[in-house]
Amino acid sequence: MVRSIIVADIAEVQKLAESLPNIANQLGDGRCVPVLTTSIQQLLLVQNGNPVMGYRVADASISQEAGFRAIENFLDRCGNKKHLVMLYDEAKLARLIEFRYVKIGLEKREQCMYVIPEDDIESPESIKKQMEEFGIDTEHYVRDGSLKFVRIQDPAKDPDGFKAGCQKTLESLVSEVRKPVRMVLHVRYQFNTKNEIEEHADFENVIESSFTSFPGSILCNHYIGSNTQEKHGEWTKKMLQTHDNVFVVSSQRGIPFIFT
Amino acid sequence: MTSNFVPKSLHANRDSPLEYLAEMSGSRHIAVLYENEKRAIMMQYWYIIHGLAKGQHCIYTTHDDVDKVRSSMKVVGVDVEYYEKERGLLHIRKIDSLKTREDSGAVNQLITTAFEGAKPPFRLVVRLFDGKIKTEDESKLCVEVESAAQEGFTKKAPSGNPFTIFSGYQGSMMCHYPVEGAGLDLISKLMAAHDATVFVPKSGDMKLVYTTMDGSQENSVK
Repeated sequence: MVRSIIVADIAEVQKLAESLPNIANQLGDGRCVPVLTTSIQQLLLVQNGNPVMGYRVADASISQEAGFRAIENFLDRCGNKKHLVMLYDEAKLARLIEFRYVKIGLEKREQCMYVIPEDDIESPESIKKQMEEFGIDTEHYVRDGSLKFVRIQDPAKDPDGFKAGCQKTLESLVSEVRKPVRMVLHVRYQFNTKNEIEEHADFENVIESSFTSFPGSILCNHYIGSNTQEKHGEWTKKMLQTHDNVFVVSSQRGIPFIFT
Repeated sequence: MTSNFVPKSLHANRDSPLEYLAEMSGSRHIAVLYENEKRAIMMQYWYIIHGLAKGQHCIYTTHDDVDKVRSSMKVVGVDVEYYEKERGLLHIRKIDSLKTREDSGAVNQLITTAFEGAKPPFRLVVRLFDGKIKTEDESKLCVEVESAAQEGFTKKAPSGNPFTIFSGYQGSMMCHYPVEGAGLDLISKLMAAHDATVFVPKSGDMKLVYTTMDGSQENSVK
């Protein structure tokens, strides 16, 4: 566990997340990424996939709630053109964060695309229902074309391989979007084989390195509840290197694998 | 303003400079000696932003236009208006530069107007001299002033030393100097006049060195 700096209140976590990576990046030694979490530390500054500093509010009993609010506040101020990722094992909280991201986009008249894979435990219908309960008028937005639900095929079935399948899926999605877009992307519910895990990490790297040409922002989502250190440790580290911002929504006290 | 403060040894510290500056507590007089101004400015902002996040009053002094500092902070994502207006924690102040021994204006400004509206514990970023220290006379004056300030911090300042104000000072003070091409004599004297020094090279690792009085630790940098 990295050292914790105790901050005055949760608003400071958001302020730090907005400034520290820029400052640290100019000090050198590699790209710094802010990781907002529902764990003991609400913010971690990660450099080259490794945590370097941690920040938390003084009252540990409210750490999950504080972390959740910090993520919400961050999304409220977050501009377009961001490649975000959420790693979660608390599905209910993760959905609330996704829906807030979607709602903000719809209110800004951006197109929002919710992409869900065929192996997911959720379906477009179940997500639509949850969005309505959250307060999004899905009927209205679907009718005017602002909100789209897309179910995608398993990239592992692509004859050219998992990574190629991911890339083809994304290209196909991008060809359908209206600019600017906000995409909630679930590319696969779980990665099972070593090959899938490695190729997915490569795919995220491809997105990140060509993100300037993406017509908006993406919130990638990965369920990590069944992940293991042995199989997914390196993948997790790569997720922390290939996104502008990371959200970890976990019921665990630490953060799975690297931050415990 | 002269000082008898001579450290027995200087110690490289295992902590990273970033951790040290982020966690900074208590009364500390620290120096940032740099070869790369951009990185040094980021180091100053790093120090300031951690103070603000803890709810501390942070005073950033400049010889330049204060709006230039504001803009530069905004570029890296510091919410200047929030900290200046809503929280009242950030105080960006213009002060004169010190040019001669007889010139007490800059020191007086520092110990009076720079702190207006601020409450302890403080974090203060300051440099009394503008630009690079070029002549031997400038070098001597700089060391005298820093040594006098350190005497204030260590409660050893004689009466008449304006830096006695720092004997009851609650907080830390970061001084910053460009040292590219500077002689070892100046660098070692500046280090001796501070509790700790952060070296910011053109590129690569930054180093944190503590100045101690007991000479008992290992890894000393002589």
